[in-house]
Amino acid sequence: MDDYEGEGLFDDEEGNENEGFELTSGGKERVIYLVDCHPHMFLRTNDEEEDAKTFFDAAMEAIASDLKNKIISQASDETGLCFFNTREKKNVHGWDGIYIFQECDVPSAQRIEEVSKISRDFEASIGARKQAQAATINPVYHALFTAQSMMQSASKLGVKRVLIFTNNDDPLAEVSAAEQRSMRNQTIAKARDMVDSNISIELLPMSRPGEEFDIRLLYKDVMSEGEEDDPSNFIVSAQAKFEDMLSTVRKKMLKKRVQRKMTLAIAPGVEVGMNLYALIRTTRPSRAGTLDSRTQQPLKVETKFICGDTGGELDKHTIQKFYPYGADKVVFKQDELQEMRKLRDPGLQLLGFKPVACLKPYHNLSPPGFLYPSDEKISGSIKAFIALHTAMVKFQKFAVCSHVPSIRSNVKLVALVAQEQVVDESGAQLEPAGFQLIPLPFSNDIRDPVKHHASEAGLAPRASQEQIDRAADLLKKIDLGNTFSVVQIANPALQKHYASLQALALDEDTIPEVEDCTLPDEEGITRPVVTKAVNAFKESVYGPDWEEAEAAAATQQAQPSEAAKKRKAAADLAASQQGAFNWKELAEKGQLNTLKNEELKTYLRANALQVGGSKNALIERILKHMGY
Amino acid sequence: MGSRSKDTTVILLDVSTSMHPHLQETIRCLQGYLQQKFLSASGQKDEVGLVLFGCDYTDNDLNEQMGGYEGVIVANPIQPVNLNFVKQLDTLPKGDGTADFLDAVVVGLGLLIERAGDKKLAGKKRLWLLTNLESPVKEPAEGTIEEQAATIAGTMVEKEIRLEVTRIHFKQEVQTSTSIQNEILLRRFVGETHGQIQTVSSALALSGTLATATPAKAPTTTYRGPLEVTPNLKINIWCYKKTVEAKLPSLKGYSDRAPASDPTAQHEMERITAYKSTADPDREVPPAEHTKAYRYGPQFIPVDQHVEEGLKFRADKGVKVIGFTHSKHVPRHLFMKDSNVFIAEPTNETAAVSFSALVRAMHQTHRVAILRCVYRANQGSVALSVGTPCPAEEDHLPDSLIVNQLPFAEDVREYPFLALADQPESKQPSLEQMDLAEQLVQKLDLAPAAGEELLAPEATPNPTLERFYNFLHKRAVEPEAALPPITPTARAVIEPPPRLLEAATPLIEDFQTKFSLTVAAIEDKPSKRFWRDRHAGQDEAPGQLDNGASTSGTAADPISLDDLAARKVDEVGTVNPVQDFNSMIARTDDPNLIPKAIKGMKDVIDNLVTQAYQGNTYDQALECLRALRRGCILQSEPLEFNSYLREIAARSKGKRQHDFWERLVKNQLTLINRDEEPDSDVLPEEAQKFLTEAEAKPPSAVEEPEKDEEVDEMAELLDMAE
Repeated sequence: MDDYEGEGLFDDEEGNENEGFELTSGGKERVIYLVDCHPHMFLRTNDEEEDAKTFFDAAMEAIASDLKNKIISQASDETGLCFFNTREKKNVHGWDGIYIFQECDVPSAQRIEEVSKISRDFEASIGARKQAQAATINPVYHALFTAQSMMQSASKLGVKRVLIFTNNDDPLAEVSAAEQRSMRNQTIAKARDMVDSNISIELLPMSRPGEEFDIRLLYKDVMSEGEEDDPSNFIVSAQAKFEDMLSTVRKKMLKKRVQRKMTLAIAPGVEVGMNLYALIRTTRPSRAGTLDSRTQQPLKVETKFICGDTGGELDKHTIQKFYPYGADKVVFKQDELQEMRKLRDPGLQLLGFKPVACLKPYHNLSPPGFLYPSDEKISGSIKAFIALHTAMVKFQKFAVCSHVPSIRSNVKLVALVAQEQVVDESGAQLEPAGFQLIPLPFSNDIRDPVKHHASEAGLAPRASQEQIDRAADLLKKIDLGNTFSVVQIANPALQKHYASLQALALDEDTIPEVEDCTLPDEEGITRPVVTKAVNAFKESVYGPDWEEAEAAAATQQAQPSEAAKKRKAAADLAASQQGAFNWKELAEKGQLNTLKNEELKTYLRANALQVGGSKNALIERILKHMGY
Repeated sequence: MGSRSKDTTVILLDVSTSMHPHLQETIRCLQGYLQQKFLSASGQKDEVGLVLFGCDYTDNDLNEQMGGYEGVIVANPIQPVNLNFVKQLDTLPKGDGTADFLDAVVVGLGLLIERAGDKKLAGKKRLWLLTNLESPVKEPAEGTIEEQAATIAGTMVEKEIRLEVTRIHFKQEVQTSTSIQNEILLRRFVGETHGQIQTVSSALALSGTLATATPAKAPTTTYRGPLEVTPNLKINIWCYKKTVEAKLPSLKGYSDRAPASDPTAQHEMERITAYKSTADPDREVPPAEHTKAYRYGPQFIPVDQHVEEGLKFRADKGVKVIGFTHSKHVPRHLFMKDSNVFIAEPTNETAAVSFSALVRAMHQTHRVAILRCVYRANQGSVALSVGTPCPAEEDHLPDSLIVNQLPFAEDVREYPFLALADQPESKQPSLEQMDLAEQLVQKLDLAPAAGEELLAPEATPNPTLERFYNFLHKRAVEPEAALPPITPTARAVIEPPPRLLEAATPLIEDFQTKFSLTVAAIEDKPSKRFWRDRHAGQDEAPGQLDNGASTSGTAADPISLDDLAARKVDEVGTVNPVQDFNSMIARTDDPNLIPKAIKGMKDVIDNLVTQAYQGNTYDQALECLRALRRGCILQSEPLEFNSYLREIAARSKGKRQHDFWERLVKNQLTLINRDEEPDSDVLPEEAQKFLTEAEAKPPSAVEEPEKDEEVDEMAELLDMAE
């Protein structure tokens, strides 16, 4: 709508959200992947399977997948990739066995490709450390040191993580006992130093089926996850982390932020402070922008406003607006319109309470907001919020409020519904406790189309209780069960968009097929029990001869519609009528215009031509058809 | 959108003495109703007549011909609505006596019959009676009132004319025996003509009723086809919109450049969009050289139309049941958009029965249907929806399913929040406080009795729309008219009902005292507490740092902690804002401090600028702005600064604080560019240009311009409402 930078064309939804929001947790994530290249890593993950991949391949696959996720979800995050226990070396310190493959930077198609391809020619270019090569370095220590220096330039804010991929639980096994001890201490000291600098160190241990990765040998003291005291728990969570990285569901990650700080006014001066969050918002694919096809650089859009009468340029901020009122133009200034919409100051004003039954399923226009109390602005707010919340739950009531989100928005009525906390069996929070803010429609927004289908006979067709019971039997057979959660279904259009973009960017040969999780479970709903229930239901509605009735209905469907019949009849009639004239003679003598339109149309209908238009158009069409 | 045939309405308005208290509001609402008629394309075809009854004089043809219809005036014959008609309502005559609504019905009926002439009038025809029914109907010369009414009703049925009654009866008013008798008479009338009686009990409801009285546009279906319960059970349904947000109309740009003397001036504005090369800003790139592209990380991926078509997700048209589930599994707050409603295909008896059985079975077993909806062929997306059963309450209406869209996994952000019960003991309300809250919830009751609901969405019109049309009307009549004041109906939406509030005032005062709700005097508990906790934490758990397992803030760099100990700054004060700001951003112990410092600094600058007297504080404001800029670069928060600077530009440039803007330009304080901080949203040359042009808005608010669409500020702002 405005003059804006070329870059702006590519700004996506997240950018939109930044506007007017306050950051509560800042910064981007920086991740260094440290990948062990000890010969063990080039063993197959599973000896039983001929084509099983090596541990190294598995690590690279996970990293590539993680990068693909990041480029969609957190494109400003930076990552770096460093190998340790390598034959070749590449690092500023000149240490043996340390090879920085990618410096810390934002993910890009090229970097993803490099990671995906490294497995192929790794041995030639970098290579694993030979058993015989003397251990001149303390591998994990030097790797950690390098990782830290790779992040050095990074800003103090944000999350910093080091992810270690290895299948070797005892990296110091090959050195002498004395050296082992000092190296171990050196490594642990470094790890603590890093943890003190807010760098978290995470381990992704890989082990073969049946073999256990013993974190007690070294890694327990290196990792920063203090809570994982039980090694078996730890392996489970590491496994989950691995799967997360390999996840193909691309999802934009948004940081938790307060969308708006606001107060709920009970009466003038009696206010409760709270924060508004957007927990549910439609995610759309990033918007397309426009490039200069010659330079492949983004184009800058400039918009000018020109006076239609004089051709002079108008200043955007002072342009007046008009609305046609009959033949007149009613003119408003921008600030008058601003003033017009300002019915009250931003915030929430409590109007009263209603039983939850008053909130109908169709009282909806847009996604909800979520309110959580805050004492920051008004002390006592949390207490008052909890008290109101509890009372509303107890009486099964919701609050009706008048809501003005910001000075630029119109007043709306909203329902505040007390949401109680919901947790799953493991104690994870499914729904937080607070108020759901549901914008309500006004009378202008509600339609009543059902009324237009009021039965003229006085009684609308209704199912009998017997038919309802059959339907209920059927419902039971297609129940989604108690574990069903609606918010776990991925949007197939969005996933397809991301997958296609990735394939284009990485020059992949095939577009990965995206599973459409919204399709019904075909197998499940064609099971005999379901079919049986369906048939019983049909019998109750159509009677015992439902199969014939259905076939009859199908034939009827095949019958031409009323409109089609009408057209057919008109054409038949026209065919007989057109014989009343000698068209060729009329046309040759230029006398077609002596006929009436209806008479001309008989020719057109009989010849399946269009019958619309002026008399001249009709005549022209006839002449054209006759070949003149 | 099928075109609707025109509707014909004759308004019968009671202007007798007992109606006087309601007349002003009623007329204002009627004006809104008429206005919508001639402002909307479909409404322009409609024709409306106006009959007043209960007047002091008489002016109608029937009376002249036959006599006996005194006090009835045909104020406006049946015709399309025009401005004069709307204006005329401002000066309607009133009467000082009683009013006979039956007379008015007969006169109105006469008008309709006369308008039709010997043809049959197409479209809907109705008489719309607005009265409080407080005047008795006089006995006819022959027969009884009932007989007379029956004759009239017979004619109406024959001519397919409906009678709709809006009965104004405010709650505090006593119901008289006259009005009860009249109501009984009317009920019969309405029953025979398939009309309806609506009683409005408040000014707000009146205006709500009239707002929706605009003949609903012939509803159009958004889908007609099978609802596939299983592959071998398909029920034909129709889908309609149930709610659609009515937005302010779009306004076009008006140019006053043409000289006032020029009678041919159109005063319209054109919008010209040019695509300029970034390398050479003077070169305009023709559309033939444009390539559509998507961003992938730092890269742009060009996608031409063919490629894009090939890559698009395609779904086949249809509505399928994924399964049924207990309604408790689909919480109300998951509804994403406006609502749809499904009904069985009309005139298809078996579909109607099957659908009715399904809806009622769902209702009886508390189930909802999870649906996969693709309403149009070749649609590029699918909607995941929930169908909630809605068995009809009236016998003549079909059963329906209300269908709401649900979020996908990508749409849900799972942020953890502390359970309210886990808030510290000091934040938990006492029993006494709990009791107070319960009393408040019970006292401020908007639905005190069954069927009695204040502020029901169905009866509450949008005050902004109402105000706009009101303003529009005033301006049309009088071009210099000022913004009309906020009407009582708008007040009802923005303020608690006065009677409720009054009754609850002592309770609310008590609430305030007992909860000691006080605006915190820029007090900052979190960081102070953090400071205390930090030491306490170290004392209590000395081993914590040693096990190297902590990534929390307690493991901050000791050097900066020493700095902090010297000066525990956690807010930007007005005395030394730059120093405060710098100390705050230097701290690493609490990431919340950075945003807080930035926010605090902005507030200080805003204050300095707005409170300036002849620019006396501008120097300080500029110094602060410079510090903020530096800080935002250091902390990689360029967007924070840039959006703020744009804000300043928007509110000062060409406005009251233009002098501040000039100072800013002179000091070359511009946007943070990408060379200074890679996260920035602007290139260096753009940052420079910002000062000279300062037209830039945050890029996020930008859309690809649509070619034929005028700037629609109103709708745009509306869209931003959330």
